Amino acid sequence: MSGRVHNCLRALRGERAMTQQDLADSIGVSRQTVNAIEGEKYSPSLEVAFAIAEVLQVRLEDVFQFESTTRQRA
Amino acid sequence: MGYQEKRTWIVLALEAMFYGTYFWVLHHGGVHLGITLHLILAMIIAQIVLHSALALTTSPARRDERDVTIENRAFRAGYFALSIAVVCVIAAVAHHLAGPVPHAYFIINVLLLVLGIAQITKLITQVTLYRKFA
Repeated sequence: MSGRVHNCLRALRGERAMTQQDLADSIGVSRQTVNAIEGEKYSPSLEVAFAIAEVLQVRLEDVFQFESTTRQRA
Repeated sequence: MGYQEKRTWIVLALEAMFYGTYFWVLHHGGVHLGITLHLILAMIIAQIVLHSALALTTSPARRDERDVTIENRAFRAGYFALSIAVVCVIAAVAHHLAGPVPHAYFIINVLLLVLGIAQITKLITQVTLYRKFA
């Protein structure tokens, strides 16, 4: 199965008035990694994804959504 | 640009300078032990100075999972380049199998060239991936 992971991290972070650096420090990654995740250029590991959801106090699926690009056979 | 990315750029610049200078000197008159030792010493001093300057200007950050992912992919590219270079060397040796056995000094330089190609490929891939995942 192939697909793409989307996220609304930037919006959720903005609602909580957190900077990228604040979030990065909370989950133990660099600010550049948070920026890459927000820009959907890098998909984080499950551990980091769960840590982000925990820090933002939302469910994992509220932050990350998976869009499948696999074609269905007729 | 993050700390780890800047670090990679420093290593790339220094290694490119090291291999470039070494093979340039080798091509223009030959390398002897003295020059090689001076080159290695200059590399070590430059590494210490540049990494210290980086630590003073950019807050040092530990490697995170993105850095590890990028490095793993870069290692794969480096290994691919190493394999291609080794196959080329084997083909060249096989082609001259009937001729005289190459001097040990020549073999060492060929191995150094192969190592340099693999290392530079790895580092170029690494800085390219840092831009891609930025």
